[in-house]
Amino acid sequence: MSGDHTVKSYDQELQHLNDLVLRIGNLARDQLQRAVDALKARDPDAARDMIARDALVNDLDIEVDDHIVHVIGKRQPMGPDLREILTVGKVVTDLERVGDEARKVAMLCLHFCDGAGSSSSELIVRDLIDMADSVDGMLDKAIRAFAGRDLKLAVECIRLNVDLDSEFRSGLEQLAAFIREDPHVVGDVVETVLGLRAITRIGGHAKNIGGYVVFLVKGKDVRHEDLEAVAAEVESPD
Amino acid sequence: MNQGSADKTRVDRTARKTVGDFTHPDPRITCRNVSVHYGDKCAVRNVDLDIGRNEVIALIGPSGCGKSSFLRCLNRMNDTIEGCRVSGEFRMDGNDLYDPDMDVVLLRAQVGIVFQKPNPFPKSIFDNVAYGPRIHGLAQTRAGVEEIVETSLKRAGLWEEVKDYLNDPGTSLSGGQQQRLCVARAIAVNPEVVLMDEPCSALDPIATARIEELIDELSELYSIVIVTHSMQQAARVSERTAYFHLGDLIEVGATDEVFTKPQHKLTEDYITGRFG
Repeated sequence: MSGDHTVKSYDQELQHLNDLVLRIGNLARDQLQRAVDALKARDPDAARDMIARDALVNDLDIEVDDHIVHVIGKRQPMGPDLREILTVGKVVTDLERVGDEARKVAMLCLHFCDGAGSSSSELIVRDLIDMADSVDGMLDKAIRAFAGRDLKLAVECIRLNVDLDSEFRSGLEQLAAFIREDPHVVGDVVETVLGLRAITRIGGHAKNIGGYVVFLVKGKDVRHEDLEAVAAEVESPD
Repeated sequence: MNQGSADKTRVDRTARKTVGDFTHPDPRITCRNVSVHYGDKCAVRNVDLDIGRNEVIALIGPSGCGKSSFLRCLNRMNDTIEGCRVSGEFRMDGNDLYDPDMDVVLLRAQVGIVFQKPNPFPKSIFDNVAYGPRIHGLAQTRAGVEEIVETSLKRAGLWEEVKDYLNDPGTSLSGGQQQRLCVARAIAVNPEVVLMDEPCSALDPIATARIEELIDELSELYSIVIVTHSMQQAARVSERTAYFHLGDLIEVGATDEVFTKPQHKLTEDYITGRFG
């Protein structure tokens, strides 16, 4: 939608904003992957490196906000352009928070690497690692939904988040079972719950991005609608 | 409520049919099947639109789209243009504006107009405002005229700036003040509708802001139809917006909707700067 303005530099400014979203999106996914890889490998250096790289996400977040202020002030956007710029701002905020949540997974790795971890820690984090894989898929879909203004992918992100909530509850039950079997693992379980929660929140951010894409394309704010209502909105004619 | 588009469930974003509701629940003026021709050239084509009581409605669109031609129909200013033909039905509170027996001078008092360029009479500030009430016999005494002049200048937000200089020429005022003087002149004759044809295009941002504030205040008393090329201005001052394109009324709706979620592709292209 960005193209075809009479003023070509306006097209370029909007395109630059879209490019920045994709950059921060890919960076946030990379951060999550690095954190999970560090956890799998129990690699504290990789975990610390990932945490330090969060500054890159933060810098991009600020860069996008600066650019948004510039475009609004200069162009006074309207209609779909206004929705696009508002959406970019919201998507980037969620992606920056993905980076923050991914950092908590790296912190979990450091917990296990500092000698505090129990011998059964690999089992304890197994569900978390599986969920991280699902959530990475959600993030990928969310970013592609934004890039392609793809309503089907957007709704898919919202649907997957419903499944993720079930997985989170199931994961909690599994962690509770670990404590019942061996109360000494309570420290590991508490740290893992925090990591599990972070992964679930990343899924929530992917779901939010799906909702923003619906707003971008349809002009309807569906943030507080349930899945059926969003699906109906997506199916409705313009 | 009438739906301009034939199909209520799906808007044809490309057809030259009016999208949105052209009616108003409390209309002051109803316009139906309005066309305007200049010789062989069609400037406005089969437009239906209501002007609501005490509403501010903005007419927007690219140059040559017919918005000013339509505006001028509302107080028969097109009558003065040679070769201009107006067809269709215009009713103000049920009365036919184009009835052969209509007193056009009286109509132009009821439907006042403020033009793009301030055009005060070559008279004093006082006489600029007093002229209309005098010729329409709205006051029989000097005191009565003075009261109308003061009230009108106050409503136009100009009184405090000119009250000690009422005998100075109207042309001695700044551009923004002159435009407010023209507004005072228009409202001095108790109009029901005020038409504004790009009233701020010759004004600086501060004078523009004063006119916009004035529009906001005057809308409590009058219906206001404003033609503007500034979409930001339309968004700021109006409750409804009508988009014209090559003589067709393409879309009409709540201003908030038109500028955030336009229904028609042509409206969308225009407000986002993709036109042409």
